[in-house]
Amino acid sequence: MKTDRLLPLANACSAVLLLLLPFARPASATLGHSASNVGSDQKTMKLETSKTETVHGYRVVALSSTDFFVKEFVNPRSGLVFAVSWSGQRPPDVQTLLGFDPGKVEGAKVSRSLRFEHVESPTLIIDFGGLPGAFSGKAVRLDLLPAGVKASEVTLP
Amino acid sequence: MKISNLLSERPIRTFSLPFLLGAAVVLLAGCPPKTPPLIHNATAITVGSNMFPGLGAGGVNHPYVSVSVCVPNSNAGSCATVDNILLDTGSVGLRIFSSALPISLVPISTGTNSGLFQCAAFGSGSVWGPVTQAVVTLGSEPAVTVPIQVLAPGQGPAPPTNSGCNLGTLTKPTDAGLNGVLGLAPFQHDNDSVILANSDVYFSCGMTSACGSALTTVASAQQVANPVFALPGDNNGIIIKLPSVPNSGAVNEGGDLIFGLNTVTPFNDPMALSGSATIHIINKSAFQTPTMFNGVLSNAFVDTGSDAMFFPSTMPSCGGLLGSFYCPNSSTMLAAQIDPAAANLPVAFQVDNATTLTATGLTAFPNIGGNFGSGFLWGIPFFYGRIIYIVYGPVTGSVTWNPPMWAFSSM
Repeated sequence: MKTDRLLPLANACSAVLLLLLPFARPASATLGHSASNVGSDQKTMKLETSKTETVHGYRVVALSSTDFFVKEFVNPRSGLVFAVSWSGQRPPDVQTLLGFDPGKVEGAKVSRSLRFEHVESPTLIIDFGGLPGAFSGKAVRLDLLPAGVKASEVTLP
Repeated sequence: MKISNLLSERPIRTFSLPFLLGAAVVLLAGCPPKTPPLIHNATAITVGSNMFPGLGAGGVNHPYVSVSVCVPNSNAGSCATVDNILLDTGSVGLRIFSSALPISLVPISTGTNSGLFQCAAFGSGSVWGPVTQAVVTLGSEPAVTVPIQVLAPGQGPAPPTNSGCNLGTLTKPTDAGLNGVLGLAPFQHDNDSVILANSDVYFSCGMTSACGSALTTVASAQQVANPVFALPGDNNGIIIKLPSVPNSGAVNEGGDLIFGLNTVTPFNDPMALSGSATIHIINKSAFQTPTMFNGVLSNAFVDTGSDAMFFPSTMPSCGGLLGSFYCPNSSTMLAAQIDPAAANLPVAFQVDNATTLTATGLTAFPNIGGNFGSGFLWGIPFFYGRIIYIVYGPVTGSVTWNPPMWAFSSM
């Protein structure tokens, strides 16, 4: 279903992309998908306001409500979301933010305690955790980073 | 204990009783304060366990307790004692994986052929399963009947779409290194605050069919509950005592979880336990206590469920199986201030390279830090070498304390 969108990106990392496909949902922007659906993410996650700013080399779409904040990082060349970050009092809607189960990424190293989880593969880094009232996290597709942009530039909202 | 051992080694018959008592007082005065022996209102904590090998850093700084659970109104044999339950001051209520609980508990009924289920969010994922009444025994306290959650992914009704329990879930003990969680945050029910209600969401589900949408209100008596509030006595707070751990680490370090504050003196009397050490008082909830770190004020948690001190920093993370634990090139000394506007207590802590430390195979370290971008967590390292008092209700006697409040002293 999403294959047409993702195939142009086929490269050495495509094996990992394909493994993610079964978990992908078409209706939202989600990590690795087109930024054209950010509006639907906003609706799904009940976020009220949206603001876009352009940082060097990429666009950051900020979505927010009174108790939850999301940033979607868009590569202007591909139009794809290369990273998402979030923070808020409510637990995150992982399905809308990531579109796949962070604990089930094939071949990834997963480090998990009750509070935090770290997922790492050659093309993906996800860090999230916290407690009620203070949840946060970020997910970065290393293979989709715009040229010259580092993963560390992906900041929390 | 120390005194009686000492006396039994002496030729007691040659001394009169008053002399012995006088000698004991002199001996006591010359000794560092010693904790009275625990009798009935406590249970043991073990930090770290080799039960979950291969978890990497997931196996360090986990304070485990054992809890006994029985089926209500049933005969002997319908009970199970479950070990490796993570003591968690950052959540409310007892939650146990069904695979570690070999007894049959019935979901609280929400109507004909339907029961109460819950999706509860922890930082690393959510847990799903029925809410059931259970008879819970903590240490040698009297048994109490409270709602608990049985974590039973894949059994019974599936979690609703977008409930938060579809993706990123904790589904088995080895996922996070625990058979269950004993949540002793200072609330009686798990929906007692808005932020808890947002994280611990209830559903009414058919036993084999779909669940309805999230329930907006659930009667207090049916919510997953902190079992300490239900104790007949010893219900006004908890005391957590973990010994000092050297920076080189320790294995299976033991401590005490004591129930009640000043309810059975001297066993849970803060003045007796802390001896000559100063008791620092913070008139804020341990669940969210203002903390200043690196010029940023946040609502920090005093949290046994955090296996490190968690804070934002540019210090390098270890990555891989050690995830977001910090791996500084050299020992780093840091400090944060508890409740800067009132108590204003600076507390120093050290962070060393987690890869080097955990390679030793030990299970307790006071010097592990981890990345948390949106706040500060006083995790298990803060508890080592301290006595932490978390107040649930009014305390009278040697101290007069009222919630919201917590306190700590050195040992």
